[in-house]
Amino acid sequence: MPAQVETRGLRVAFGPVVAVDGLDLSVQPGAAVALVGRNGAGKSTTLRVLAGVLPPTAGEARIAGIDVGRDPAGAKSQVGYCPDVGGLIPRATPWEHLELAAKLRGLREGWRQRAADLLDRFELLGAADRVTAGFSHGMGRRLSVVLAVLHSPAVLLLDEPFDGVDPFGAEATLDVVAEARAGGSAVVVSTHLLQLAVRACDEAVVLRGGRVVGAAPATELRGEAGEHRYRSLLS
Amino acid sequence: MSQLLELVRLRWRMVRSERVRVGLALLAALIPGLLCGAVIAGQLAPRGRSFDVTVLAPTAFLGFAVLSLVAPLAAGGGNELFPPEQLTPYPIRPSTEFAASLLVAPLNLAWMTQALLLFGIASFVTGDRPGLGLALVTTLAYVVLVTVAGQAVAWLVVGARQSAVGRRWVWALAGVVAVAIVVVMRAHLGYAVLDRSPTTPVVTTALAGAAEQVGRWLTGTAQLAGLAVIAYFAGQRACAWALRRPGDGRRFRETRTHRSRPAAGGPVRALARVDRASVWRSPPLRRGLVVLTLLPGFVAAGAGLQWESLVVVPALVTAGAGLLFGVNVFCLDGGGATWLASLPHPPRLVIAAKTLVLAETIAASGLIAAIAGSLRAEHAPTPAELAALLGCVVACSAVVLATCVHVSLAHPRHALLRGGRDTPAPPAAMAVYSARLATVTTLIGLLFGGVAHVGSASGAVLLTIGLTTLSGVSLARSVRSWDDPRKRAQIVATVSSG
Repeated sequence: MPAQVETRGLRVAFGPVVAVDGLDLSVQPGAAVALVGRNGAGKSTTLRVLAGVLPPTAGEARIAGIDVGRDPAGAKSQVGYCPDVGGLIPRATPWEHLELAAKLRGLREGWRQRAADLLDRFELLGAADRVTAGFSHGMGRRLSVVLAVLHSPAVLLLDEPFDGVDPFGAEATLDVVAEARAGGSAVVVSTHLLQLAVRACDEAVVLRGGRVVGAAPATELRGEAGEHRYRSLLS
Repeated sequence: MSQLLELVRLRWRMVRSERVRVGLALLAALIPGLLCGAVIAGQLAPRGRSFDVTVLAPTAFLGFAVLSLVAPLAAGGGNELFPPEQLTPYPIRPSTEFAASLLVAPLNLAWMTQALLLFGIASFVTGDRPGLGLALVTTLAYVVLVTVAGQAVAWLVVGARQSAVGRRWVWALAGVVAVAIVVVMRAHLGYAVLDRSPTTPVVTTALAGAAEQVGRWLTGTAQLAGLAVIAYFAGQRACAWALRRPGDGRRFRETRTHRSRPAAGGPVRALARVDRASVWRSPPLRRGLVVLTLLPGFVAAGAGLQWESLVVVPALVTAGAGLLFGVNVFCLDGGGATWLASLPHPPRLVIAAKTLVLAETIAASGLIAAIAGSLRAEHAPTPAELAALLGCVVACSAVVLATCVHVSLAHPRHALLRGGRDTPAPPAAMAVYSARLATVTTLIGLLFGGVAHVGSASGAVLLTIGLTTLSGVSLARSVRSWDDPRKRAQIVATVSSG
């Protein structure tokens, strides 16, 4: 089965700083991979490239077989992306964000019901008409996840989706990840919270200096022994 | 004072480009030069209307006082060296906040030109009398006094507006002032009121200095200086009080609900709708738009400007409208720029929507100012005057739009535009943009004024077509740079950072 997410020799440089250095990654439909690593390892940059926000300096990134560099709009239509920080227009309401996403993605009329259901699951329905500038960090993260999954994308890219989110919000995020996988979507999650990462994903890929330095099945990273293994991979 | 020096040093170090540093240093050096120029111009000007200028001088001094009050009021307590969220971890004293807002007060084109005008008038009314220096010292003391007092009052209002009761009082006071102005104008009492201007003693003191009546001059000037010192300490207290108040203003605005209507139309309309909401829900932008569109228009109406002179009003207003958010138009998306960039749409849609919202903001501001200013014009406009006025609004809007889009693409910045004092760019950059836009639009306004004067409607139309076409070409060139994905990524990363 062809991979839904595939990078080959992906390289991203900002002047002299190389953020991603020859990254090879492959995620099958229905699979979920956690990108883990220390700050500055290249996790967020990789997701930005896959989301079509940042053009790669070299190498190839494909989403559902579409080259992100050559057909960014085609690739974006397959992706749901939750950026690492912010990710929300400060003076627009959640419902306005959802309407804009529906309009730009050309969603059919039924999206409103799904949007309302998602807002309800993430306990944001009561805040659907409030500007996001007044949201707490956790509320913002939850809304970013809602926006990413609204259109049931073929590829779900979540960058720090659990950061500052309470246990109920984290459970809701884990649920939508599981549903996306069950529906055949490929999921990539970048996070520092290992125990949530291993619940969401079946494999963890460790990045350092923009390269893959190790990988382990999620089952091997659970519990205290998993923490030790993780730390050894990081260092 | 040591905190202020550190903040200024940090702000200076944050200017990374050597070219910009040189430009700013030159700009700073230019101010004493302009001051000397204004004084010399006052000395060299023909003395034919010396009496008229002396009679009008208190009104000019009063106008400067009004500006010194309105500018910091519109900016929610005066502009700031750093956005507040960047200084949150540091123990910045209120006295430093107040001194910083005073320090950047002159970085305002309207303040600077009016201050130069006052020095020019002081020089002119002194003429060849020996006490020019003394008259200028009085003028300086007055400029300092009203600037400090304006900032102090603005902080007082900011503090009062932190509660619902305070906001009602401020609105009531603004209503009383507005009604009083309308009553005075309707009753044709404008000249009588201006004749009793509280600034008359200031001009008298300056004239006493000019005549070397040292005792009288010293008493008047010392009073001004003393009042400035009192205003400074009162301003520090007002600033401390305003910053100490818990404040429900922002919380109230950011928890207010905005019921969304079903979005009609295509993607550009949907994007423009969000951009429009972003403008109107931002306190500094909303307040700036109201002040900008209504104040110059009503001042022009109050002065009873005729059609030929009225042309300059929308020209300046369009420049001001561009400064509100146009010089950094992508900052409207804030952190949402990254999410927006991940949605599948042709990239030009985003810039098309921003250009549309900016164009309508600029043009509407210019048009409203023109209409407000024309309320008291004595006769109906001739076709040439009307064509010149409308042409000026269109041409200035086009030029400001093209310049703003170019600047937004070339120098994107992270700006929240959340608090009343937030601006889309740092103070020095805003001063440069302000000078750039105001110079161009004033020249265009003068051109259209000339066309109205010679009574050529076709000339106005041709000028409008020419300037709008040039702006269109410039705009198209700027928009093409948005097609580059690396440029877009850089802009998105910059505006969504922080």
